[in-house]
Amino acid sequence: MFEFEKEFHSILKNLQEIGALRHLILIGSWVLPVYLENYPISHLTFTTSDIDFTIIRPHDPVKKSNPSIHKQLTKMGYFPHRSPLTQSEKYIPALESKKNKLSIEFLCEPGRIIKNPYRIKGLGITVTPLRYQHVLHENAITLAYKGINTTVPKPAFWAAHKIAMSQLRSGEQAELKKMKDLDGARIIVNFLGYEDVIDASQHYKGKFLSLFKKGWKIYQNRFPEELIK
Amino acid sequence: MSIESNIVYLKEEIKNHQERLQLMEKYLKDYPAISVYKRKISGNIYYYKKFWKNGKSISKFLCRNENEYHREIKKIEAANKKRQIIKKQLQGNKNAIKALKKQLQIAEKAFKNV
Repeated sequence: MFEFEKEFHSILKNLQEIGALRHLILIGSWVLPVYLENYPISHLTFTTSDIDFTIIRPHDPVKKSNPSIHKQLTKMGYFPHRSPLTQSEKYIPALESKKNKLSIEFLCEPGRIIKNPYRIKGLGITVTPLRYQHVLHENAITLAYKGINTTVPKPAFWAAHKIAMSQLRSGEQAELKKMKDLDGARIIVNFLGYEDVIDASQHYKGKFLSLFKKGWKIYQNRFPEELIK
Repeated sequence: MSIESNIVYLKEEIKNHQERLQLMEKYLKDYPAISVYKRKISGNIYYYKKFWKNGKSISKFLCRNENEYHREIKKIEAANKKRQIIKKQLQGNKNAIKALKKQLQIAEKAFKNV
């Protein structure tokens, strides 16, 4: 049992009930509880209250649910909060809500149509474009989490993505955040073995691979003993 | 959990709580507590709502019909109740920020000593 487990389960259940979960891929650190239920992962580091979902082709007209995700989340006691700087939208617990603690964000791959936060009418939400989401989209699997079929990235690709993305961190806390990303990936690297994660990264070329290589060097320096085992 | 992850987590949590605190304070400022009173003028009953804004007491006409009054009072009571809950949550949030900052201080001290 980990913190906010009930709330996380309730969000997934509600999204499944309205038929929205089939459009969403769970990413970010909240995939770890899903992996934990399906794979013999022994150790779970858990350090975030943000649930991230990614959506493939958000402009596709089939992306809809009844009621919309917005309506359902509002009913559950969350409300959309837009960042004045980036215009990205995040569902945070309603001010009067006593039990809700998690926040939910929707992401997508940027493209020709989507360069800025994009509103999906059928789902009633705004998705924020973020690079290299396609790595997760192209390598998704469906796993059961407490009886709910949830689409998540394959563990090796999730870890490779996490290591690569750590190198895109910027700002005052960049170094610490990089280490946090690598810590998250470490759970999967230790479980699968580093060869699988490196193999996953080799499926991609160019900038993503070079980001991964850069991140992997730091990972090797940080956890050398674990890689020798 | 490594110290770095813990520090990032605590900083993110403090930021989230502070953002929430700002939203709560804005809400309480934008939606002041409302009370309702009635006045009998020339034999007719008029209902007014009263609230504080920018340090001033403001009275505004609400309605003159009793049915309308019952409808409005329900809305006002619900809004006042929501305001009360948020006010309570605000204090809880302030305490949480204080506790998180203390934890962060300890984590940062440990990180420096590593």
